[in-house]
Amino acid sequence: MYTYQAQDQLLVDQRAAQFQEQVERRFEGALNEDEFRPLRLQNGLYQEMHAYMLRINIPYGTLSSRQLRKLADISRTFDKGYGHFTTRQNLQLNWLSLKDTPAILAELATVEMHAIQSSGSCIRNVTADHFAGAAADEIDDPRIWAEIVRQWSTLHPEFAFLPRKFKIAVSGGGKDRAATAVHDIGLKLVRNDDGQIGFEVMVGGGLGRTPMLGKVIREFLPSDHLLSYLEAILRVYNQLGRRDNKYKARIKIMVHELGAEVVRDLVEDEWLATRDSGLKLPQSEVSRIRDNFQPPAFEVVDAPDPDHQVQEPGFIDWQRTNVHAHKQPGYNIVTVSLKAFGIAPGDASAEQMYVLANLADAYSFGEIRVSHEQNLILPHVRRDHLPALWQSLQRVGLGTANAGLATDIISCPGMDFCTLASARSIPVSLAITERLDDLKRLHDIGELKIKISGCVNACAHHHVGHIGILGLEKKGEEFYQVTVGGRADEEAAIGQVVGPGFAGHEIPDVIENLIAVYLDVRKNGELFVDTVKRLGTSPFKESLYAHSETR
Amino acid sequence: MTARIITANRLDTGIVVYLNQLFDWSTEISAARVITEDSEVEDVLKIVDRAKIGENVVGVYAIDVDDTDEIDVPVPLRFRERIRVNGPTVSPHHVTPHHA
Repeated sequence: MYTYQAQDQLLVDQRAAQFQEQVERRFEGALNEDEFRPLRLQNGLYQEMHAYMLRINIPYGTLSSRQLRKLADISRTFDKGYGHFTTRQNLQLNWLSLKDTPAILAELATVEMHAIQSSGSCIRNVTADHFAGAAADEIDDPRIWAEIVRQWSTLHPEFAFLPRKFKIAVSGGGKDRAATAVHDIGLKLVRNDDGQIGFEVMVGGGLGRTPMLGKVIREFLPSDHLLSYLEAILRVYNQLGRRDNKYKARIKIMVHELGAEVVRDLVEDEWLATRDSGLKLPQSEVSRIRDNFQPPAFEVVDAPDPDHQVQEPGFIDWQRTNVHAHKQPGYNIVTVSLKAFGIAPGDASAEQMYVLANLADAYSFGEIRVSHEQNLILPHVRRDHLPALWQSLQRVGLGTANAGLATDIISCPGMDFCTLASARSIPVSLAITERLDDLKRLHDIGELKIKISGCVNACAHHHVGHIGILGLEKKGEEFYQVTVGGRADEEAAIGQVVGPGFAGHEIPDVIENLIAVYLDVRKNGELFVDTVKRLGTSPFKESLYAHSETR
Repeated sequence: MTARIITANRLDTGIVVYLNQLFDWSTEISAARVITEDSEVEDVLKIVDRAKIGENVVGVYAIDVDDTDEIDVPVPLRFRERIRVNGPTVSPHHVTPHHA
């Protein structure tokens, strides 16, 4: 993991101290709310429905066990003993007081964490493949490059007041687990014919009220030019991005209005002037950052396969869905599901965080990852340790065998917490989970990604759900629009609306109906989303609305 | 007109509060000052502003409520506001505000 340098530590310490003074001045009346709001938002602090919410950055989703313990401490001391992991690989605490927040920031600083730039029209937390450094299919560890981007973008003075927020994601180059196509900039590690490492650069992806997939504007960017090229993109966007209408201010609209070719030419022109400037990455600096992400001390594993040790059906199910291939022989990556029955997707209690920190120390070199699918990952687990790990996870409700299945639902906080929401998300996800709580059936259905957003801002990425659900409000009542066929991987696609919306209580039936159609018409080995791609939305629409002439 | 009450969130804790008859803020919606004249909403908001009653709260605004004779406590018409009154509709450990 990256270890803070003196200047990193100074920055977060100073920021916590500054915020302490700002909060005091707010309470004294020296700052009014209009003056104070941007200061608190620059530290990720929002006023939500019932209390203050703090959004804590988890850079590229990488946590140490020490950091996870600190998050547990903070949630127990200052909040209600739990936290909510988000689709941006961050942690949100929903029940905070303003007066406690400076102390929380100071606590975070002691473990090299902060909430700077987790809000506002700036470059947000850089996200990355949650299997980074462990996946067999990666070309390089995306965290190295995400860390370089983090350092460059933190308090970058030119990009502190962009037209709108800006999100960058980095994938390791194999399977796209970072949803790069739906970010303002998506970076995919690639290797050219000469064997050099570089990036395929996508620009203009995004969800929200106008979902768009990113366009490739450069197929190979040499890695040493990463920052100069990003700076050129941001500079073009900062100048040409629309500031007259917040709904048209994201870079996706600029790319859509100007065209990807024009944007590419503008970026390349800008880049020509700066590509060999001080932003060109020195190899020594890349090596220094890379040294922080060296593989752990893997052992030679000479132990029987766990399949031969444990015959419990629960373990076998869990192994099938939550255990993934690792680049190191004898090791696996483990997805720790935060989608247990009856629990809001992405929520983890302080107790669970403490246990997981201990398990990470015992079984995964003290490393934890947060996935954008709102689960936690233990990236480096010895294969023969899987049964013991599973048993420990089971004891604290973290052993659910549903990663990638229909109950592994992504959900935003929705109207139960969020001031922006139009409808609730969590109760809908819980109702679906309740309906589909038959593990055998879930495994038979196979991979099915359901994503539920409580408003058009699409925090739960519903547009790229195999089944997407969007909560809306009409005449004071919640209703839900359903899409099918979206996906966020290397074959990214925006889902198609199936028709008029449904009441919340109808959604479990809707999901059942869609699954029934799929099971009826799927070909061998075909995922739900592949069936939609092959047949289109018609069979699903026909089935959903067959008995509803008035919809 | 539809009956209205004035709501906000406390500056220090962020919890939901309602303006009461004494021009103070209460966490209890049952104590809310119910306004039944359009012009009075503006007047009350002006008083809140002028008398600095809003100093310890943020986001002051008026909401529509049902305040018919059969109901003891004003009930917000919008579902969102009912969630602000009662807390999240999910998971028991989410219900009681920590800073009440």
